[in-house]
This record gives sequence, structure tokens and C-alpha cells, in this order.
Amino acid sequence: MLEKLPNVGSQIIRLIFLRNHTSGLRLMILLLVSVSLMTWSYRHPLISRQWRQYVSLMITPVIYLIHMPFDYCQKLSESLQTRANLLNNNIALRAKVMLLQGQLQKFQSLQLENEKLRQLLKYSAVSQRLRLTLAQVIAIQASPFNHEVMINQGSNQHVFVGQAVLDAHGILGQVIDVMPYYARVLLLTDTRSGISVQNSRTNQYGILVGQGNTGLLSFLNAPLTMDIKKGDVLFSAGLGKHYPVGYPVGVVRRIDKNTTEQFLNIQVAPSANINSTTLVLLVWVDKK
Amino acid sequence: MNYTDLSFSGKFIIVLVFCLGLILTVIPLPRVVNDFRPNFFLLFTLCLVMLLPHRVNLGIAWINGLIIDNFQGILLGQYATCFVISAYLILTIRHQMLVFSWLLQIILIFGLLLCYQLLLFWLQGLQGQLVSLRWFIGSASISAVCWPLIRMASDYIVKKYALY
Repeated sequence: MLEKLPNVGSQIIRLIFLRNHTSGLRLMILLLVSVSLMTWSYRHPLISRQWRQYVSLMITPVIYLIHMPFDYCQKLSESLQTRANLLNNNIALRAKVMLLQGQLQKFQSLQLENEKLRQLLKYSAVSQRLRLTLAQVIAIQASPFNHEVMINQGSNQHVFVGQAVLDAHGILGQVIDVMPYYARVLLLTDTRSGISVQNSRTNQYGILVGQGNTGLLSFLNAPLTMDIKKGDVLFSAGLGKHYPVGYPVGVVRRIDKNTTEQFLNIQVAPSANINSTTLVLLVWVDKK
Repeated sequence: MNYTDLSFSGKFIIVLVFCLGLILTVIPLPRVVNDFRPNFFLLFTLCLVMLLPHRVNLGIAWINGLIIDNFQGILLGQYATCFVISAYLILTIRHQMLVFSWLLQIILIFGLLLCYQLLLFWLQGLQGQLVSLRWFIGSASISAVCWPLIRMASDYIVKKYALY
């Protein structure tokens, strides 16, 4: 009966009643391959990262294709501004640069003075000199539950795993995965992230970990007797040797002291603009 | 049963549909609504597996999962497992799905997506990563609500470009 129908029509009818008896076998084979792939990439992270670099070359065009409309929209909104507006922005930016340069002069003299004092005290700690490079955040939000961003610089620009990433206001996170043309940055607010900090007021050290969805950080194991106040600014301590020393990490937002618990519950708001940053700074530390 | 081979343009259309699904899955959204983002890539994959099982098979669903694994930079094979199991489940109920009303289809898809999220939840949990409950329910329910839209769009594309 079916064979007598015209070609296209019979094909559609066949399709409706199609039963694939080998799909169970296919499922078993693919599941087996998946499990072996998961085990292999878990046991050999370095080899799987290398393999992923080759695959990333295939998905890089897709990533930049997705980013392109956002980039063009931004460029369009920049080019559609009025001349008067641009002039005003220019004047405001010049004034800002002037002010920052003025401050920088003071910082440079302070840095020199600091180094002299270190020499006098025979202080052996290594002072850091930083090199900064600009990178753009790619408009991709690959994972629904991880706090990560992609940046448009990769191993071709000598970006490396563990490299610190800053924005204009403070530390943003660190590079966790590097591909030839892009890299993945783990933000401070991710639950897998941790950073050693120093309280600017009391010089006490501590560790901050990300809370995930709240977009905040929390102090790890802060004793009940700890001297900490709302509004205290926390700077990076550089103990883990991932992050540079002395950059703002966050401001204490809330302190819950419950005497029935062993530790203080301290919530810290990150200094960096975690959710809406488009330009970031990659840090290279030159040890002197 | 023999089917005519799909032309190059037909294959290109299918790849284009997957690209569209992928783009909709990874474009950035504000973090508040991100948990409720429909899983377009999975929905398009499931819809094409259901409508064209002889063209888009389990292997292609597995490769699509692997693409997401690479996008997220996580353990390879994690999403591939979830995609291939979901595709197999839709293959088992595809005859019912082709004739059911929209409401029944939405309910079935919601159940299927919950299975998918649960599997993903376990696999993420094995690596010690937390998944929010808001995402678990939110994404599945919004995706299920979007199903008729995906189904109608896929039906239109399949008929217009004679992909059967």
C-alpha cells in the first residue's frame, strides 16, 4: 500500500511510522563512549586540555559570530552620539586623566620612598612590578550556574592559567582555561573561587570565598573575636601568589554575630564591577 | 526502508537551526533572568530528533552535547550524556508526541527536561559544583512553555525546505 503512494507522500507517511530498532544499541555505545570520555578527561586533565584546544579552534568562529552583533551595537551606539556629547565626554575624560596622573605622581614618589624604607629595614619581601594589558569580555554566557566570563585574549597573546584579572575598581578573578584565541575567567563570586585578603584598617588576614548566586563573597572561618566593621575595605594579600598584592577586593557589607556558632558570618560586596564589565585588565607580575 | 539523501542545502539548514539554538543558549542575559533561560539548543535538538529521526540521530545529539561541553570548558562528555539520553527518551515517545495536544506535549517535555536537569545535577554534583534550585525548576518550566514555539518553527522549516 505504502509503496504505491507518490514518492514524497510515502516518505512522510513512512517517517510517521518509523521505528528504529537499533537506537537502544546506539544509546548504549554512546553512553559507554561518554563515560570513558569523562573518566579520561578527569584522569588526564592536561591531555584533555590540549585536545580541547584543537576543538576550540572549530568553535572560536561561532563564539566571535555570537559576539559580533553585540560589538557592532556598541560601536553603533558610540558612533551615533552627537558631536557636543562627544566633546563633553572628551573634556571629562581629559580632566579625569589629569587628576589620575596627578595622583600617580604622588604614588610613584611613595613607591620610591617605600622601597628605600624596605632597604633600610633590610626587608626581604619581594616587591612586585605589574604589567597590564587590556582585554575585552566576549558576550557569551556559556554556563547557567558558573560565574565565568570569556575574554578575547588567549595563549597566542601569552595569557596563562592562574593569571589575575582586574577591572577599573578591583580584582575580578583569575584565568582558569586558555585557548588559542580566547580564555575563560573565573569570577571571584563563583563558589570555586577563593582569595587571601588583608583588612586595610587592622591588617588582619583572611580568606574570601564566592557565594555563587548572591553575587557576594563570604569570609572563611572568621573568629568571633575578629576586629572587623561594616565598611572595612579588604585588599588582596597575595599569599596564594595568584593575585597581585594590595588591590581592592571588596567592602564588608554585613556582619552576623551568632554566639552559638563558631565563626562570624561576614558578607563582602566585591569592589570590581562583576556583572557589567566589558573591559578587563590582565596582569603580568615581574618580580624584582 | 530507503530514504532519499538530503541535499547539501538541506544539511546546511539543519546546521543553521542548531547554530541558532546554540546562539540563543549562550547569549548573555542579566543574572536575574539567566536561571529562567530556555534551553533552546536542547529543544531544537529534541524537536529535530523527533521530526526527522532518520536525519538527526542519537549520534548528532551526542555531538551537540559535546559542543556545549567544549563551550563551558567542563568535563568532556557531561552534556553529551544528558543530550543523548534525552534524545533517546524523545525517540521512545515520538509517536505519541506527533499526535498529542499542545498541553500534553508540554507536560511530557517538562518531565523529559526534569530528567535531563536531574542527570546534569548529579553529574555536576559529582564534581562538587552547586546548582541552584531556581534554575532546576525555572529553566525546565520555561523551556517546556517554549516547546510549541520550537515545534511550530521546526515543522515550518522541515516542510518549507523539504527536509523529510
